[in-house]
Amino acid sequence: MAWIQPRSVAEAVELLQQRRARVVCGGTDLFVGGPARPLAPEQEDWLDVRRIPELCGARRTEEGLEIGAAVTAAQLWEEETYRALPALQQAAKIVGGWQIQNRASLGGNVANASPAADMVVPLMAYRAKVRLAGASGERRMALQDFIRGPRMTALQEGELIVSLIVPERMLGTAQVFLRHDQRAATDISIVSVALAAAVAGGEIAWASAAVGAAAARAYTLSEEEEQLWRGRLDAKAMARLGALYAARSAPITDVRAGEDYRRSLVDTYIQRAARTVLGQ
Amino acid sequence: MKTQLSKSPADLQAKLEGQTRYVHDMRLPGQLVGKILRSPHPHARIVRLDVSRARAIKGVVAVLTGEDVPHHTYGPTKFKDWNILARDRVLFIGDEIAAVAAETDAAAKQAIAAIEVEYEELPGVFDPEEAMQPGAPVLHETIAGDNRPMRIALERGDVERHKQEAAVVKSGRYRSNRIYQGHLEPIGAIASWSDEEGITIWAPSHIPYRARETYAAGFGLPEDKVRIVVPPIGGSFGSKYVLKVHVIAAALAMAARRPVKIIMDRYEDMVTAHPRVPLTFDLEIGADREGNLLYKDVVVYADAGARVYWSPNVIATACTRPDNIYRFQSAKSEGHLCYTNNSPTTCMRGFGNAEMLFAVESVIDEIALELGMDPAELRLRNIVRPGERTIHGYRLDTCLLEECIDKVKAISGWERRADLPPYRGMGIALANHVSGFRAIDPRFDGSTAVLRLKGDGSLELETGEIELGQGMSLSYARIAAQVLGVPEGSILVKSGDTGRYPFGIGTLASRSTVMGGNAAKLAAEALQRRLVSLACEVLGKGASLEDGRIRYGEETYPLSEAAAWHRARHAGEELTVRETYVPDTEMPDATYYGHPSPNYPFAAHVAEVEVDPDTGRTRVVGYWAVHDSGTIIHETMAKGQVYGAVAQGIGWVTMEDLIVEQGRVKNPSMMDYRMPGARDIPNIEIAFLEGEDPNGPLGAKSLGEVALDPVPGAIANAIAHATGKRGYELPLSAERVWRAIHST
Ligand SMILES: Cc1cc2nc3c(=O)[nH]c(=O)nc-3n(C[C@H](O)[C@H](O)[C@H](O)COP(=O)(O)OP(=O)(O)OC[C@H]3O[C@@H](n4cnc5c(N)ncnc54)[C@H](O)[C@@H]3O)c2cc1C
Repeated sequence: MAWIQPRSVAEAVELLQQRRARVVCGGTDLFVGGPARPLAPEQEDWLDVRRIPELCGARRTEEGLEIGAAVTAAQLWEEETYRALPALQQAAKIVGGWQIQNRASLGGNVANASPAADMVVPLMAYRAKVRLAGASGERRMALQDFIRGPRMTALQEGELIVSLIVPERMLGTAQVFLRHDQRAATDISIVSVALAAAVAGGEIAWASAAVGAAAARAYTLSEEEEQLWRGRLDAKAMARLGALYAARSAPITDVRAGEDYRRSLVDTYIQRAARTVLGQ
Repeated sequence: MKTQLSKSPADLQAKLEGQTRYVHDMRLPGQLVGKILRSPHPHARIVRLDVSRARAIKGVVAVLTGEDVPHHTYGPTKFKDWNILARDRVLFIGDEIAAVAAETDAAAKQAIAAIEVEYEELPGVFDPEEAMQPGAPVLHETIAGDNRPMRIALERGDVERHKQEAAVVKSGRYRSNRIYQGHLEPIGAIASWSDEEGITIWAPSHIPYRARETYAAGFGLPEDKVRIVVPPIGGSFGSKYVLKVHVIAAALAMAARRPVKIIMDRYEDMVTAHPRVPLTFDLEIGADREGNLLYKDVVVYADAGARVYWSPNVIATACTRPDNIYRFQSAKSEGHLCYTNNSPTTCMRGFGNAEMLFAVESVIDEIALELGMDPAELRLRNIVRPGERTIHGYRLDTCLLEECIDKVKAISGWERRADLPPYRGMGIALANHVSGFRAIDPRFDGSTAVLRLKGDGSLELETGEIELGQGMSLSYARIAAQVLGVPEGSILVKSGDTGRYPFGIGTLASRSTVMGGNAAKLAAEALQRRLVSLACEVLGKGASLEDGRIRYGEETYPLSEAAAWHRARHAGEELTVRETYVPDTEMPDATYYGHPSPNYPFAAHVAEVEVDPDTGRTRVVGYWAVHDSGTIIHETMAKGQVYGAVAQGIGWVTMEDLIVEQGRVKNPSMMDYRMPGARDIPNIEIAFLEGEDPNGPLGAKSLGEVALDPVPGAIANAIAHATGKRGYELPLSAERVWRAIHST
């Protein structure tokens, strides 16, 4: 078992081809699986991506804001660069506690593909893209297509996530991230909602919302259905939106919550998110 | 270098500095790793058990099955249903089948995996009421053919008559749930064996003498061939009493002839946890039109799990103790303790009293609501008063319950209750407890202290009680220091070794301050007398002890000199006194009537909550705790008890639940078993109404459990006030409250 720390994406991709290495970033998912999720066999190597400069920062591009996969939750909520993404900042700030936030990465949150992942939810609402690098070069795809289900992604053998790209039009919109959990800090989401909306004069020009922990993966509505967000949302319109998102949920019953309770929370939190961005 | 004497090896500073050495940190020469093979089935016959492959693994020193260990009748209570390892049948998931001692953790794991077992699964029973039905699978034929090792039936006064007379009757089926004690340090032990000394077990247990007696019986050994040494305890709350892990470690050490250490990880600890006994209460209370409580009638069902740990005492407490808060004119209790194929349940802080008070305090609020009376008023009208003898015989030399209610109303701003905004609520609840309980060991009660003058003039105080982090050592040092006029820091309190220290009944039932504290006080007084007579002998008549020094005329002498005087006259022996405190109590009789404790603490708590009607989520936004615990000996530690208890209670009422389905724990991790964090705890205002109790050391009464007892009731009442819906089943989790609000 070796701990390897490549210094570039190219080197990382090459190493992933040469040896049976497992990508690790903060390790906050990988190393705390408990008895239910035993660690990899000992002969496996660990490829630590935190020394790859490209993965560690953000940059503005024509498309929008490109965030390196190894950027930590703490960096997201602390750094000026991410002010334009308040929903992501709020989600980052709720992840674990301080110690976890100092290690937990955005890429890890995406790659881990937990239905209850928090930072994934604003990224879904942003209609973010995932930039991947592998032996056959680079590719990018919509986050919606990348996360396939609980702990299932489109990541291929030997591939790693380089960055996540948030489209330009999302930057600086009115945003909110809300999470329902069981206690006040360090918890796992029972239901979460992220909303980004272009609001002017108490009216929504367009909006995009995503719901987490209420289905096998975080989900959005189609852009067509999202037209319902437009305008001055009155109580009736909000209730209709809440009901629509709730209808699209497919929650499970587990030790944390029952299915019908989760569904009702989707409704509640969609409406709360709407009221929040409208300043009500 | 630290020059100052540490007050106790388990004291706060040592913990903060990481100096405390728990059993996990200990390593004996030649020590082996012990592991246990546990049943994956809640009820099954062992058809075949083959350990030959395990025995052949390199590094494995001993492998034991039920065939290799003695099968004496034993157990910690009078219901002797324990074994060391199962022989033919397993009774719950986690029941111990085989054990391995090996050179390494890996070898031990490998050996466990190599053991072959074939089971024939048997039907299980998981609910106490179903366990009582004819035809239910029977767990312990010889002890209870009807799965009911214990039944309680008592009545005082004429409940039937009061039922006729009552103008208001409120009732309901209330349930308290399984709570994982949440000890930071998982269960573990090291055991060793020698032919001369027998078994020595290093185990965090706060009832080590009962453990010694129980384990000796398990091995058919005389009691003094078992020694329990108690390292610092990393949290217990009732979980670390007498445990099978200790016995199995000993069995392995005997077989391997080397020390064996078994430490559970959190997962094993939770899967096999012995949680708070879940209780179901069918409770009814009636009052007249003026709000005088006439009767209380309750049937209690308790789930003992597959073996008896401490559940009998818990159900007995539930059936009696809360009745001693109010002047019920009659009371009737029926209790059924039942075996099921769940992991055995045991005690936890509050010990049946907190559970029953959740139900009683809820029903009393319902009565107040129906009568249109203020809940605090209704209580004031019915509480017991100083000088009274309660319905079950408790003699109340002191009782500041009325003052507690007045004070908690004042500091909480109780009058705000009438016009709180929607979905805000305030609730009040009362509690009592004991300071040691006469019936814990019918043979004897009390506590012994040994006080020794060391050569440097410092003192060593030995006690049979156990330090659990509750501050016992600090309290004893303070009590002895006050009597002798010496600095507290010069007294080192030692305990936790059945081979060295005085006998102790066990540190439970909130007994350490009053029982052990009285013993410490008696010992300090005896030492004072001995010092004065020694000084008179050496210096002349009129010598005295003042401010921790010997005085004779104008001259004063430090205690180190007195130590030398004594040794010079006694062949080098140190000046040592030994005193026993025996409380003036009355053993409860067959009907549970008696005066079981030297004194009784009381409390009144108020909780304020805010409930989110859309999600059911409760936030406790304010909390006020007023206590009558007599003289407070160490205010910092006393407050610590209350803060901790309220936090524990908030967890219990709003989120904690060890979910068990068909005998299987569904949330065996700290991730899925939610406990509150600092941000779930509001500001807690505490007031101690100090009055001297004649039977407590320096006037003290107990505090440890009475601080938790009212919390479930207070929060439940606040939630009912906020939502208009009564919660019957703990925890009142967000989802449950949401269901209650949205049910029609
Ligand atoms: C106490 C605690 C609390 C937590 N609370 C929360 C919470 O509130 N909300 C929440 O969403 N999560 C929470 N988590 C989960 C975890 O912290 C997050 O999912 C975190 O974002 C994972 O990032 P990481 O860098 O630690 O991932 P790692 O553990 O390093 O990796 C996770 C997975 O992602 C893969 N991976 C990582 N980086 C890449 C990459 N660049 N390319 C391809 N694959 C990659 C790894 O191979 C692995 O499969 C918590 C965890 C703990 C221990």
